Amino acid sequence: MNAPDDPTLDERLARLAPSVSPDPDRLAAARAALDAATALHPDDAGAGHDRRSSVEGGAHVIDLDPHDDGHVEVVTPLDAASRARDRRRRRVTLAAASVGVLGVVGTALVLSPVGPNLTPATPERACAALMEAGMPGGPATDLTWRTLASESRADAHLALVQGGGLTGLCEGGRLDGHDFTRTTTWPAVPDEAPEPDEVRPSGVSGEIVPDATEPGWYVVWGLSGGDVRDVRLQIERHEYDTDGSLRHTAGTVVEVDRAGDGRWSAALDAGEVLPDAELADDTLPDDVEVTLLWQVDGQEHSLPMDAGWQTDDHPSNVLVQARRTACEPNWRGRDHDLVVEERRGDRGVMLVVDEYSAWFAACVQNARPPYEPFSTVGGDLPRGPLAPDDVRAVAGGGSGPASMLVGRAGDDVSRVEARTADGARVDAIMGDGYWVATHDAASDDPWDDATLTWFLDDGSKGGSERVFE
Amino acid sequence: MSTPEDDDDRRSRLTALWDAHAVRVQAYALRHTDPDSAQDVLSETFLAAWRRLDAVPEPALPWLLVTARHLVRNMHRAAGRRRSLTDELTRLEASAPLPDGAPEALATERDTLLRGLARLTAREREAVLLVAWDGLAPAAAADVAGCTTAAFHVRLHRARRRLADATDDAGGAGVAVTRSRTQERRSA
Repeated sequence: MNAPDDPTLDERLARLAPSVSPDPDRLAAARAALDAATALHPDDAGAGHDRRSSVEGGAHVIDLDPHDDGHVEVVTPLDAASRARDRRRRRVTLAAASVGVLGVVGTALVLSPVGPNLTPATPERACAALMEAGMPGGPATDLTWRTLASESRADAHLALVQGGGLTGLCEGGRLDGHDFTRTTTWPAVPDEAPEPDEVRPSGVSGEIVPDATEPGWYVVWGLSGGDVRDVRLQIERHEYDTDGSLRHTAGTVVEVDRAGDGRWSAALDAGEVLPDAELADDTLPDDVEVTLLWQVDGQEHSLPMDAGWQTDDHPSNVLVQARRTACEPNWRGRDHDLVVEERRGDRGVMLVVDEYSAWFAACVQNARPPYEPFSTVGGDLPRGPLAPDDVRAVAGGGSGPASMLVGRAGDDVSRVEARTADGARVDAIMGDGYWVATHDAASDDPWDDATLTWFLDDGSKGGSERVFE
Repeated sequence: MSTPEDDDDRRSRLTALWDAHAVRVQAYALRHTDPDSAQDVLSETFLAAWRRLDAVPEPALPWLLVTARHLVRNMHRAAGRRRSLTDELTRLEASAPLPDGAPEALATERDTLLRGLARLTAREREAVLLVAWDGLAPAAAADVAGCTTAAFHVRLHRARRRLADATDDAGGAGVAVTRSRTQERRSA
């Protein structure tokens, strides 16, 4: 083993340092965009220029110009969502020709510098107005908005509203000395009424970031049954040694806000919720665990917020049920086996098959409540035997973060790897002779010209071929 | 209102900044986000420099990387995304492509090191690469990383140790990168 400070490690790394552009085409495109922006506004690219960057994954990121304190246009979030959905639909329609697509939804995210519109005095009304302004066909005037949460701090405001089939979160604050507002919308996923002793999270936004220096919120909301008392959120940060053993745990517990109708919410300042102490140096959101605590008849109950994917420890909790239910309309009424069920980052993947009728359906969904599906693909499975050392791609679909490729694998295949035309390597999730590869694709057709490589139980390479030949 | 001469001077400075640092900023952005977003980050970073040209210090690279970091962070917050180790490896591969005609030994070395880097925490990986790839001294790298120089030294030391462990244990990396960090730790 190398010594910790062995300089040869830096030297080895330095040999890999990019000395020329890793992506010359995009470098040239960025230069062209810069030239266009500076040519339009030679003195200052401030008031009046198009401050939106290109849409990426349904998100606009707005430049916060330090020279411009004036009010600027509100970017309509649902237009962006609509465009993103349209793109997905177009892509999925192509995939549907061979496999049949069952449903597509999307979310919208917008960041815009409209600080004056989200004041501490009326954050809920301002948020509702932002939601309405973004609705396709213009503002709706007859909607009733329910405020789920509202928080104001010295320079940060938050409102969570629900109405018109949407849940909308508006965050306002100051970043680098400039006002901004960010809105996030989710399509409504019907809330199932909780049992009297249950607490059911309906949605989550944000991350707990122990040493964040910028405004940010962790927001969670849901429903609770009539017998539930004393609902709290426990936030713990665990520090591990490099051998994986737990070194230290720090944490805090906060009470949630409860409404009389069983709705509850908590909006936490993501940067201040954890004691930093000596842990501030090396912390990541992944190290933070959030757990719901509540009491029923004096007895303590708990539910980890990520229990929706902990099917070994929590085989049938309300989050597992909600997650499966969110995708279930695509295979409701069919006999099926659940062969893949796994979280990959901010996405989750499920694959169900009915081998008797040679049918399958796959779903890529939000990994956190409300678990809304981003894309689903289903269709007929090819009949006929598959050699033990062989692999076959069955269908590809979705686009952007919801891109997926589904296939079968022989009995001796232990690993399947897809490499897309743009060079991304994707390890497929394996399950009972099937596999699903998901990719946060930059292109609309990530699987065109992609290559599959698979490996057998003994570690040897089983084969390699183009995905759809 | 600026004069044409002022404008020419500003453009010359911007061009010089671009020529000197665009590749580094692009590689940095590619390490932290997808290629399309990295393209946006690159142009927005230099647009920010254009607007605050008088405030851009020399050397300019740390300032540009800090600006890029803010833009990337804003994008990630907007997108609300979490990244898996597979994503990290994909981004590392995109930010440091293998040169054409590179010997197989370098390809193997690259694969080993990138897989090792993917297993580090984001901050550890950042610490190592700001020094090894971007050529920053620890004080400047600490500014980019948003921590004190002392904290950066600790982070860098830990990162090098873990990277050494990871690359010595490269045989297991192929399995590890298929799991999320949370899952990896739970199973440890």
